[in-house]
Amino acid sequence: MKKKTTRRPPSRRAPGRRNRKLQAEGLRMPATVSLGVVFLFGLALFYLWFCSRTEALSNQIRIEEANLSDLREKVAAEEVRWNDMIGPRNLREALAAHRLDMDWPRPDQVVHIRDMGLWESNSGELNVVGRLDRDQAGMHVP
Amino acid sequence: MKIRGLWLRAGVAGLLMVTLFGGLAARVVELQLGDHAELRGSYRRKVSFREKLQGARGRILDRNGRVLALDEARKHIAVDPQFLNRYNDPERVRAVLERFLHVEPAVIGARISNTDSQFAYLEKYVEDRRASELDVYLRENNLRKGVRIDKVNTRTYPHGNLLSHVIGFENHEGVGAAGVELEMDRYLKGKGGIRVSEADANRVEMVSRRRLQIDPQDGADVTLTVDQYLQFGVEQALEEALETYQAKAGWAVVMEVETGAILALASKPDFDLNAFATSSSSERRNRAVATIYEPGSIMKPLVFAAALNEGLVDPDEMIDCEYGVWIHRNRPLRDFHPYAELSAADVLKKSSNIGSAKIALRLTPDQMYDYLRAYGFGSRTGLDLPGEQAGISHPPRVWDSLTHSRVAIGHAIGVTAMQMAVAMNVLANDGERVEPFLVREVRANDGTLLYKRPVRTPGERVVRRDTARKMRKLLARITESGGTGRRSRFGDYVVAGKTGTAEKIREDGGYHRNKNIASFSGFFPADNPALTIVVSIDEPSGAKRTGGVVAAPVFRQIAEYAAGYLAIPPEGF
Repeated sequence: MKKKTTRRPPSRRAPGRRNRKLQAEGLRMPATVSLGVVFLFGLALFYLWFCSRTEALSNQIRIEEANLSDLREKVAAEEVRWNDMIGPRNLREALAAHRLDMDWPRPDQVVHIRDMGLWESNSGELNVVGRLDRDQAGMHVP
Repeated sequence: MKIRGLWLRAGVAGLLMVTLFGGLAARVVELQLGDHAELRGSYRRKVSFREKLQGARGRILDRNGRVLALDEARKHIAVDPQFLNRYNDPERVRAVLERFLHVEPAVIGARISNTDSQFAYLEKYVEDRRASELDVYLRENNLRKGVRIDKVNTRTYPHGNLLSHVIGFENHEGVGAAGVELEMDRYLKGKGGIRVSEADANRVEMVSRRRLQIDPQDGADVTLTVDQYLQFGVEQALEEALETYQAKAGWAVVMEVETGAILALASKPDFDLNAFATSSSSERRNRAVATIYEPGSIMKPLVFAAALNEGLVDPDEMIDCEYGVWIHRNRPLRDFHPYAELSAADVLKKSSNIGSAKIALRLTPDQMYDYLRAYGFGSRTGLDLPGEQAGISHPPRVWDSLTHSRVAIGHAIGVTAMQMAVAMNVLANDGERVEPFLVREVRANDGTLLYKRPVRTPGERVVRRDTARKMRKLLARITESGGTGRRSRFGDYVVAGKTGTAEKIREDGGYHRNKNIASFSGFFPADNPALTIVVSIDEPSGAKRTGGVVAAPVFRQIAEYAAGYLAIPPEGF
């Protein structure tokens, strides 16, 4: 038995003409344009993130600046309190309040370390250890 | 027809949309790109601000780094009575404020209840700690509405009256107006900064819009040579003397012999630096550098040293003291105690006016004047403190016939205590004059050294070393038994010094018989001096008000305190 073959009728379309039914509907965006849009969108997102981050940091800076200012004020206030507490009048009153009768050491109880240096090295001490050689009276230490 | 109407409506709607959005878009573009300086200016004015940033003023420290003056943030406590009475509980707020503030309750009540007002101060310059406690308490109890706590920077002096004349004060414009505050203002004042930025609707700065920020620079720290504990001892001694002798005023200078560093400088009466505006000009006067007075007998050793240096007197030679009255140039010169004859050394010890005048007359007027100038009289000492007076020392060409003999006993010359300390220090310092100074160094906020006093500045040799040594021995005799300065001695220490009792000059000429200045000028230990001290008590009352009775004990009190505090051995360092 001869196999029946069905032959498609020859297309009546003219060669070169496209079948519109087989085409996807709408515009087809080129890949480069899509990439560009995605890039721009990403850039916009980054910009928004960057702005919000900047705002957050600026708020943080403002808070830290206020904290720094507060801390400085506290340091100054504590410095005032401390120096008031260790001031000579308060020390004397504190000694009296605790009935501490104190006196200076006798000269023989004091050990003097001589020739330790000049002004540079004895901050806070009486500058009497680095003395001029009295035989060179009239000469000046430069 | 139906389809056609639909298209028409769609077209019209589309046209309207295009027109509307197109117009908006055009406006946006025009606003963004167009020239709208006026609009931009208006916006800038609303949100932009330019703020001056003030650097803190530098601190003033004593030689051990203890703080004597610094900037401190304080608070002004105020209320808005209208707002408070409308939105808060005035009775409860009043009770809280009465508890925290140092103000009369009646005053607080009156100010809160004055609902005509929208602002009233309750207390100014409240300490930060107390203001913070008040703030926290009000917030916790929901009573904060209508109470204002405003921050204000103020200059604080933790020790009140201590060193008031040295430290000085900053005026209400933030400028140093006296003392070291004035002298070192260029270092102490900070450099201002600037901030240009924008604020939101709540007037809170939008830091991200900050366009310019130049940080302020805090002022530099000034370290002085004075020691607050030693100063306290000196001020205590002066206060006690003023009370004992009901004196008008008193002043004292403590100077390190070799360097000229001022360890203490006190003047009474004084004033509270934290309330300088309420003090009188008399209280603010630094008498140690600004009061010119005739020194009296404390001048004698200086003229004696000049004669000794010129070889015109021998300490062992006898001087005719004329039994207490000597007519010179037709005017009598008297001694407090009459003597027939005294050795030159005893002329000093007994403080004979006649003997001293006779020794002085051996110098020519020009010689005498040159020595006076070399000691530093008639010109400022160079102390780094404002208000110092130069004193009065006239040249010989304007001397009258008596000046030559009177200068020798501390008359016809005007000096300050600081000049006297510098001059006496010449004898303590082997004949060399050093310039006194108060400021030891200045350091910027970051520790950079901006100024440092040289270890020694070139001084001027006034008398020879051997002359100075002889004078120290002669001055030590004055504080021995029988000398006028015996009350200045203490412990095992040998003190060298001279008493002085100068009658004050009347405004109409002549001298007051019952108003005098009692002084003691000296140093210790005599052989190897560490400190020179000058003490003067103005108008002491009582039967005995001489330098030996009034000022020498004050010297002793100060020297004893200093010797103990600085651990100065009796033989010197």
